[in-house]
Amino acid sequence: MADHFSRDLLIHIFSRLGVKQLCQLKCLSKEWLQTISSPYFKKQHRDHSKKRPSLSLISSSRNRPFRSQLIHLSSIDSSNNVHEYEAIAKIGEGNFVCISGLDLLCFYQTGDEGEIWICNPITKKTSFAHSF
Amino acid sequence: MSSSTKFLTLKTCDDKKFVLDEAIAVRSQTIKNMVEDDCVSNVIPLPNVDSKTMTKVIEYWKKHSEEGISKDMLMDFDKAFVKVHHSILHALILAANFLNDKEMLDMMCQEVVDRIKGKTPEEIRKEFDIKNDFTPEEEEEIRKENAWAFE
Repeated sequence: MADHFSRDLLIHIFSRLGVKQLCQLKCLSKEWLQTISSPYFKKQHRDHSKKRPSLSLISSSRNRPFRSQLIHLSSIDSSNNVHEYEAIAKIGEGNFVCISGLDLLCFYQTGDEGEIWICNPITKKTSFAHSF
Repeated sequence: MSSSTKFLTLKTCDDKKFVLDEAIAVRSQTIKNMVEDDCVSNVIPLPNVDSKTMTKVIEYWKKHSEEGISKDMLMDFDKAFVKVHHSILHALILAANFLNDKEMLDMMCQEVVDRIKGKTPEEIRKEFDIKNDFTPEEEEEIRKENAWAFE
């Protein structure tokens, strides 16, 4: 059925789905792959997600053997799915709450060893971006 | 409320006629525009909607235009309304899109989303009768590129 929808209607429907499920849907059919991969859809999806920002809770504790912080990240995306993961990142100790309509979280630690870490709560990847 | 009730006649693609209170029919932005632009003569043709689908649409419009109906009652009605076979759901979405009834379109699309959510690609293909037009190699390639999403 849904492969008989016009591109506009597919976009209307797909805009309400989370990124993880959309990436799974890419393998459904060529029409779905093209729709989900199109820059126009990505923009629509981002605009729609901004209306329902995601909420993230990040708690960070010192992880001595590695001289860095172990962070525990829980986030609720726009489709009310909870994502949880742990990663090593050099960010300050404590708890942070972050409300964002954007896809990535960026941590910046001030001080002598200031570093920037980027987290993507959807793909559960953390990467070191820059140090001063 | 206007002092006199005006009626419109809608004609579906299978030549069935529906006589409907104008106040209800203008839930469709498409019909509303036609009425406002004064291009309504006797019969409004709906070339993209069949009578079976239009009967459902009118049922929805009438329920949502009932005076004094509670929110809970409407919610129960909507819940039951969307529980239809995917072919009917599909026809209703196309009709709501053509008639430009945003409220109805949003509700039907949300139902599609709810049916997709949490299902595997195989289950979704089965649910919606979608033909997989990838070769096994192509599908494998896409799954590899998006491996994180399948974990």
